[in-house]
Amino acid sequence: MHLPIPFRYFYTELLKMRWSMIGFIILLGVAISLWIGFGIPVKVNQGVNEWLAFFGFTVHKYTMFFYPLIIGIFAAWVCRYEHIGNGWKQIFCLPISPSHVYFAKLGTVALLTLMTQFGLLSGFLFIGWLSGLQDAVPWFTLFSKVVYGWFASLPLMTLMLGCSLLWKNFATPFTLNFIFTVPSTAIFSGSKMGFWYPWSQPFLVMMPKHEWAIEGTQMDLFIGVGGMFCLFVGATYLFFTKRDW
Amino acid sequence: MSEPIIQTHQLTKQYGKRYSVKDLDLRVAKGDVYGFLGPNGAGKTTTIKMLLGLVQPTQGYVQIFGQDIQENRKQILRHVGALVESPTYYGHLSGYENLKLITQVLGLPKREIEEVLYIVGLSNDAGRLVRGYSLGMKQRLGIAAALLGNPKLLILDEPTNGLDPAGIREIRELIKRLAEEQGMTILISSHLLSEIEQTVTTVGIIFRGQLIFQKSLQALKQRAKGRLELEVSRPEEAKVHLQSFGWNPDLHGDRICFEVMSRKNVAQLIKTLVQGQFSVYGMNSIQPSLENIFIQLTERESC
Repeated sequence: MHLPIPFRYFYTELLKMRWSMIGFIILLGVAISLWIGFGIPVKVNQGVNEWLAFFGFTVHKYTMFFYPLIIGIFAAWVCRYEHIGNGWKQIFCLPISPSHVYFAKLGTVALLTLMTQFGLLSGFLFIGWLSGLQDAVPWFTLFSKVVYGWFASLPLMTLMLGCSLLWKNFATPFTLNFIFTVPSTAIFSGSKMGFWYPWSQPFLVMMPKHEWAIEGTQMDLFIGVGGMFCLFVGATYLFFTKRDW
Repeated sequence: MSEPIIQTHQLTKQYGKRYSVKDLDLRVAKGDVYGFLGPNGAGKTTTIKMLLGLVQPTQGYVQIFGQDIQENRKQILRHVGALVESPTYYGHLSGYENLKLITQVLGLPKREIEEVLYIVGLSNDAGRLVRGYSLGMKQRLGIAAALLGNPKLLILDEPTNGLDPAGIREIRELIKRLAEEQGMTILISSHLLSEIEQTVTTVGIIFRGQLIFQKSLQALKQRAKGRLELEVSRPEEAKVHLQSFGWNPDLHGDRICFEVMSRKNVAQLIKTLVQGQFSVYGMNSIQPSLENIFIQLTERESC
């Protein structure tokens, strides 16, 4: 109860959520990804771990399309209640600063996204077990891919959150997201530029070794993700703290 | 003079070339119920937003409790309850949950929620979703939210906006009670003087971004004079006739107007008219109305 105000405010963000809707979105995104991943008849090459192969099929569509989309929805969602009827001004009548609000919103998006990632992992393990995949489960690889994938989506979260804060319209960030997903598949995933492109970053991290995904060192990724994250946080922060309500 | 709770210095907000608020020196003393009046678009809400630090002034500064709002915003806002413009709420949550969000941030005990709900008379509807509330209930919920944390200063922007007469009276009584029982300093804005006339002790009138009046309610009332209106036949001639008997009438349309006078004088006046062969069709005694001064003040400014 007597946590500092920023943490208490963060908790109210969670109270505001409609968890049934969030749960539905996560389930739907995960279900579709798994359905595509396991539904297409493929032959797994000899010597390749079946779990990893199917993880690749699943994650390919998931990171390309659903994952950015879900992040966009979450980002728009956490701003939606304030945009309806300008709840912002009521928030800022409380003794909290814009930076508290910003980071609470970002924290919420990050938390929801992490839940989605683990939703995918559990779903994948369950379906994999149901369809009787052979080979040992590469626990560590799967787990670290999910966590790194989450980390690599931080720039996209900050970018989408910035757009959602800027535009009241629910559809605008959504459309943007859709538009920028396309070059992700076409151009950036196959070149080093992908490490700097927020829509490609989760894809590059989560995909197992693959001909469509360029390989890079952890350093490439870290710099790309970290750089873009700082850029988007900084830009949004400046705009968000300076404006009138 | 007691210490000022709110004090602004040459407060100015400029949007482009237009001044929304210009050189405003607002002063609200401790224990005041300050009526902040002005027509729509005069700059009331902009001023209130600057008081709360929601909008940065172009020039000038705001002091609340003697501290600068830009510098000590968080400390000040702990002791300020505010309702700005239309109330904001989360429609998918109940009234109780809406208030819980605020107590959560402020670190207040849950019983405060019950208390403020009781004060605004929403105890029975606390469990319902706010989406289903009437406008008046939403407004009262907004006031309840502002009351959380037992603020020393309450700022209510148009709290009676959009309410029916019964709702307006309820809010008025609530504000009176808060000022009397809890000794809160209250700033309340409105575009209708009649709505807050019975509640306030001090009046500030803003027109086109400038404060054109800021004194006690009594001072404002002294400016208001009643008058006597007579409806007579041939008003032009009647005026001349009366003037020849030493009266000093004013002609407003086809009515002859006088300042308030004694009963004896009224009788004498009518006698004079009747003796002059004028028919008196009707007589009206117009009570001093603040609405009138308000209009006078604002009209003078616009000329």
